[in-house]
Amino acid sequence: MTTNTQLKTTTTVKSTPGLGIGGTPSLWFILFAIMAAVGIYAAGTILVQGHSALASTNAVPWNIFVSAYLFFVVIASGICIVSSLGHLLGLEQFETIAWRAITHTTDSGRRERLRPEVIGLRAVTLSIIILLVGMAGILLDIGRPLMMINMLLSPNLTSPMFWMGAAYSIYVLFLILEFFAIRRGDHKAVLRWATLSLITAFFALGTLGALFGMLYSKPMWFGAFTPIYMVATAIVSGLAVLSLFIIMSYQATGSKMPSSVAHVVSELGKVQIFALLGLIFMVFWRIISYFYGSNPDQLMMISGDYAFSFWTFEVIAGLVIPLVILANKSTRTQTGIIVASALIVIGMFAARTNFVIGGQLIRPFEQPIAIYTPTTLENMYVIGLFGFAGVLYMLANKYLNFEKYEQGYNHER
Amino acid sequence: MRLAMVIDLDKCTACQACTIACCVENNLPKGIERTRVYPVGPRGKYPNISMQLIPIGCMQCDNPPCVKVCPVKATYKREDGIVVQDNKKCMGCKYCMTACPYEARSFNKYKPFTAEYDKLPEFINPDVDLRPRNTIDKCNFCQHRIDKGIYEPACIRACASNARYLGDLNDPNSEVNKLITGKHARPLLPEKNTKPKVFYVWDK
Amino acid sequence: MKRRTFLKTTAVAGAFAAAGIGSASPVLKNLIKTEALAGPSQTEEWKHSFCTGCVGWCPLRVRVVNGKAVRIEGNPHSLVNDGKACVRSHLVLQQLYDPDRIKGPMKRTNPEKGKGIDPKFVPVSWDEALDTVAGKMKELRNKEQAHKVVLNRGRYNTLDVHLLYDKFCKVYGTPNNISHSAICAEATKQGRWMADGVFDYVGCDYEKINYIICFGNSPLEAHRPTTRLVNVFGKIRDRANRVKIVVVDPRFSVTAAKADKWIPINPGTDGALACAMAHIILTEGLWDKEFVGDFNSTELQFITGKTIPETITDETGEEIPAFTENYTYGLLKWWNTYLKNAAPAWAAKITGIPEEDIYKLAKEFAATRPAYAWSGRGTAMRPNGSYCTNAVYVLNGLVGSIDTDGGIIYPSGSSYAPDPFPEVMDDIADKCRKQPRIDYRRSKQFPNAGVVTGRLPESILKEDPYKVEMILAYFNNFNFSCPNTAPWHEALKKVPFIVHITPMLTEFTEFADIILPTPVHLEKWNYTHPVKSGKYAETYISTPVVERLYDTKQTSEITIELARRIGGSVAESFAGIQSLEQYMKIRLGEMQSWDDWMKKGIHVRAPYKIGSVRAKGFSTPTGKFEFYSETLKKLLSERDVTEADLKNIKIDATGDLVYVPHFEEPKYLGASEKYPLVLISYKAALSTEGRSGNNPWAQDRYLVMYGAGNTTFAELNPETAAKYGIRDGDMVKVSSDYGEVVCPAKVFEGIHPGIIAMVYGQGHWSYGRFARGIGVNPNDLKGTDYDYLSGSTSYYNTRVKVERV
Repeated sequence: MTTNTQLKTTTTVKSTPGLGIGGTPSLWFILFAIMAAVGIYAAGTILVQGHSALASTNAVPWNIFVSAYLFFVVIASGICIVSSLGHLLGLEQFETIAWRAITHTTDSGRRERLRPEVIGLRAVTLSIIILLVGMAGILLDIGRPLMMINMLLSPNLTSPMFWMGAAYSIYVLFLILEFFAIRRGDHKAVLRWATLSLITAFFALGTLGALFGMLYSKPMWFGAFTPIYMVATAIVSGLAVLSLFIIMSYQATGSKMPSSVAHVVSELGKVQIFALLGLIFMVFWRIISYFYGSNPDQLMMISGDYAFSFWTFEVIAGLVIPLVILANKSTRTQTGIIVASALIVIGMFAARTNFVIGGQLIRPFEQPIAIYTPTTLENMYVIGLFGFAGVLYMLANKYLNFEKYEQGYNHER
Repeated sequence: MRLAMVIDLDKCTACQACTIACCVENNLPKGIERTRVYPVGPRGKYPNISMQLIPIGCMQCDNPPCVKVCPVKATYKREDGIVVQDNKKCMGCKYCMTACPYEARSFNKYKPFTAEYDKLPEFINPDVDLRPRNTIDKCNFCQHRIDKGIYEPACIRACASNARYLGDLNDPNSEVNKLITGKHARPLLPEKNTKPKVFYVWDK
Repeated sequence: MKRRTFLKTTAVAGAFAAAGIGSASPVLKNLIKTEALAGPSQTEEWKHSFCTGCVGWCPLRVRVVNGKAVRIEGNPHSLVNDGKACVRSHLVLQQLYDPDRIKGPMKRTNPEKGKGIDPKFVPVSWDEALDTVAGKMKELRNKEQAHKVVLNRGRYNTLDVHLLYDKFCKVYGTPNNISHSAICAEATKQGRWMADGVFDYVGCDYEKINYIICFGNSPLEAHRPTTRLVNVFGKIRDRANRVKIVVVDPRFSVTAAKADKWIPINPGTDGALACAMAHIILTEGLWDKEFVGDFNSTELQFITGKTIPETITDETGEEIPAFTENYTYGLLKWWNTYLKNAAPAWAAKITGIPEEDIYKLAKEFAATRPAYAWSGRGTAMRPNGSYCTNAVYVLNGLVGSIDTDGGIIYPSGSSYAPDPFPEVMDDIADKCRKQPRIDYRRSKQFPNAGVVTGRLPESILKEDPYKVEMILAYFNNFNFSCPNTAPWHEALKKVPFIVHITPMLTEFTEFADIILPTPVHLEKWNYTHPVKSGKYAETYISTPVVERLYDTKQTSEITIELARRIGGSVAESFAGIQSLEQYMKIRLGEMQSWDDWMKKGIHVRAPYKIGSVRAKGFSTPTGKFEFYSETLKKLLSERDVTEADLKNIKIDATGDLVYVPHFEEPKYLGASEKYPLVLISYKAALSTEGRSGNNPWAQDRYLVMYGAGNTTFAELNPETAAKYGIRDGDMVKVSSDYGEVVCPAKVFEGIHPGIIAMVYGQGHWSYGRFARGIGVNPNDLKGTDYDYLSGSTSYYNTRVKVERV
């Protein structure tokens, strides 16, 4: 399929990138729209019924909305980090993701809005969308969202949640500024906002890790490892989602992937190998510590109620198989990358659930492990979150003309 | 003053009067418990088993994790050491619940009493406000009584076996200090370093 | 309370608090801590009532703000309860403001009756309802069939006993006033009566006890009076010489969890354990020489298997008794007839308790005096529960815990002024009263029964001795609370006219033709006295704490109304009563002034003087504490009970053995091959005698041992569960010859492998919204059987099987 894309002729350029071929909505869009509709229905019902519609209990106060939130916002941060890292670390191939094309346009002295800018806009937009979707997720887990105003009126500086809220608010602001800078083709502004958003992304991931890591009541969450783990998972899931969306976008619209983009995608796959290895290193030692510790929560993961999800999804599907696919040159095709990335995303979703829900199930005073099974409404809303992300992204893909920015400086329009 | 409570488990009969009297006094709807009896055990095998039934509520920690993590300062420690909840501020993020090692906090999922009754029941204690929906509920040593000078929370008043004591930790002659030294009352999960101010006398 | 007064009390409370917390005695603390928390716009009062959660009828003071009862506390003047009230008292609020209470009189419009058949009740006026009932009663009376009206009573109070249960039944002319007592714990009274001639619950000087063995009872959960027992538990655990508590029970109860030792025993074999303990106490020479007496020769001692001669010759050649008893009677007869062979090895086989444990238990019990061997429903409410209880009870005699500090005591009761309005008996009443009672109490079948509640279905269905035309019932729910519910339903279906006086629509009410709703305790004028349990005899009063919420009438008001409408001598007998308040003033006036009653809500009598019964003699034919029960012998001869009759009532013993404490083989319903497990039901502290079903406060935390509520578990030992392939939480079917239920299993180490334990109180198919459809009723599984001597219904002798569904 890689070759196929690369061999595509310019004839395909005519087709409008967007919701479907020849103006009819694609199956993907219909699917996402249905999912979003399900989510909106669920959200409406939950808003009407209130938290009594949720399966959270006093023992398990945080439900899957929190794990979904974690899943989404970490991806959002990850995308930002991945798309910026290349530039900051001076990696040639990675630069294409964000900056080089812009450099070209500014060098030419014209504020050419439609000049190529390889996947930078796509990454920023994706990051914003996913971040907003994540926030939509957590919103329904907040009992009284309007009272969030008290974070400003009566902030508690010792609360990781306050810092996380602040960090992600600033982060989304920087992303939006970066977005407009890219649209304007203002390289200096892009560089400024991108640098700031990258720093904020790390800070936000740190506070997110702290949100869980500072709770000594929950042994699975507590510790300095959690923020680091957040960053590692952010990079892995950011890489996966970015690759997935780029490839899928081109495939879905049938438009030709410019060779620069194809190259970037392939490079992303390679970088993912190292990112995965890093994460596997962390997870490996975490598992080893579980065997040594054998605390109830740890046993729950390696041999208890969550073992299936942990081993099957989080470890094997989410880490081992993708590594095998990507490390093997013959399978590191676009399809291979899609499969690997999809598995990583699935594994990451499981990992988030295991982490957030599993982490709460351990109860003090030798009480039996708490039970949490999401209600249909909760599941529907989480499905809806994916739908929102899909619909928003496809709309953005259509109206923001990512592909135009990604034609690459080695391609003429 | 640092108010502390001692619960003498050797005198406690696990009758749950504390739990229910607390519900009565503080207008707690279904699903909300500020103090509840935890069955711990059984340990051992038939016929040699033992079991503890421990009433557990807010430990009024001197180093309260809930206060640290609340993003909006809706929970705070008073001068007399009671950790109270201000539900005018609370945004219902439940962070304090996850932070508490003692499961001492409950979430008002429902509009009070609507889960069980068609209308507000008539036994509502007018001295205590109903907690707004989607906020947090927790033990505050019956702060409304303490503020009126009645140093006897509803659980202590209701405890038929007189197994609960309230007193000032700063006063070396207070009954709680006597029980801490004399009957070796000690807190639960001291390793969490929350410096709990509810102490337990263990039997035998 | 006036506002000024309570402002003052607040100031006092404040000053007191400032002076130091908790330094005063609990009673003083209670008196001073009269709170005034209500705001200025509120009216706040404390009013007196009493609980009806058990026979403790604990005196309560109720905080009433703006006309609403908002909190319950114990009456600080009560010395029995030390000013406290147990957990059940708080439920009163949810009972008072229960949304499912019956709001006015109703009549049935669907003539078809049965479980699950909608009675189609429609509201009627009080006049119509009362006229219907009185009309029917009058009609039966005129036909000289007054005896065919059966009165049923559930949880009661003294006012209703005085007016309805006793007086009304008498003047109306029915001998069939059938109370619930036989499903309560009459066999415990019987077991005690056989030794000391007192047919009543045991009062005890708990405060000074040093050692307690609970045989088949869980005083912290379900005994009486709950407040006192819970309160005294705190006191005796807190003493420098901390009381030691041992629980002998096939189920690890809350009391067992709180005790120092739990000894699981094969169900129904407590008698064997008690006899073996007596054997050890005698062979080890540990009996109380002061109470029981001693040998007249140093050469004599109790040796296993050896008979002791009744008389010996002293140095002078004169024949003297071998053993001189002080306050007891028949020790040697007991030893020679039975006890000499009741060795621990024998008991170990029967009870499943290791021999050395029995030794240890007996020695500790005898050595740590005052010690109390305490039995409850577990030992009593089964065939021959009387003997089982008796065997346990006499242990107290052996160690001298009778009428002594820290022992069983004999307090007096309340002294009500006589009813000034005479009972007018006409010919019909006299005639009908002479008809046989349908429950066959005090017959050959039930020689010493005060009432045989469980006999009702059989009597009704077989029309034995005659057809029951009408049931007038109050505050009961027999077809839920009695074992073997199916025949109850059938019997109630058969009765042509049933009137139920009740605050809640119960399973019994489902069969009623007329419902007469009553207020709950906090809305009533009432008086009562608690079960005897300590030195103090108290009498309690209830005033209407709040205005009646609904169109209800008190049982006693209904009684007076019915009497008036029936007319004639019945009406005459009640003519003098203008109001309940007036009647109460008369009956209670001699104890203290009405002002004092209103002020305190309670009258406390001077305490019982310990030792006075020892001094004046026991109320047995011998005047002694009987190890050989002349009391029972006298009774059986009065009833003309032969040995063949004894066989019929499941007593294996013959000859002298009948009259001494001994072990009777447990008798089960259902074959052990088909039904391998014994069903042991129990009451949770919150079951409030089965009336808390519609109280969410109770329902949500019903099973404290499992941290669970709103359910009934089939509780199994892990070994048993494994045998039937059952895991914790599995749905299981428990079935017997009498019914089946499906409920979740609970696998718990604290269950005897031979039993299945189930809590009583759930499984309502009527009642209110919080009760209906929750859990299962173990009584559906049980068969009908009795401790025949006392007429008590058997609760613990049905065999069941369990399987996964």
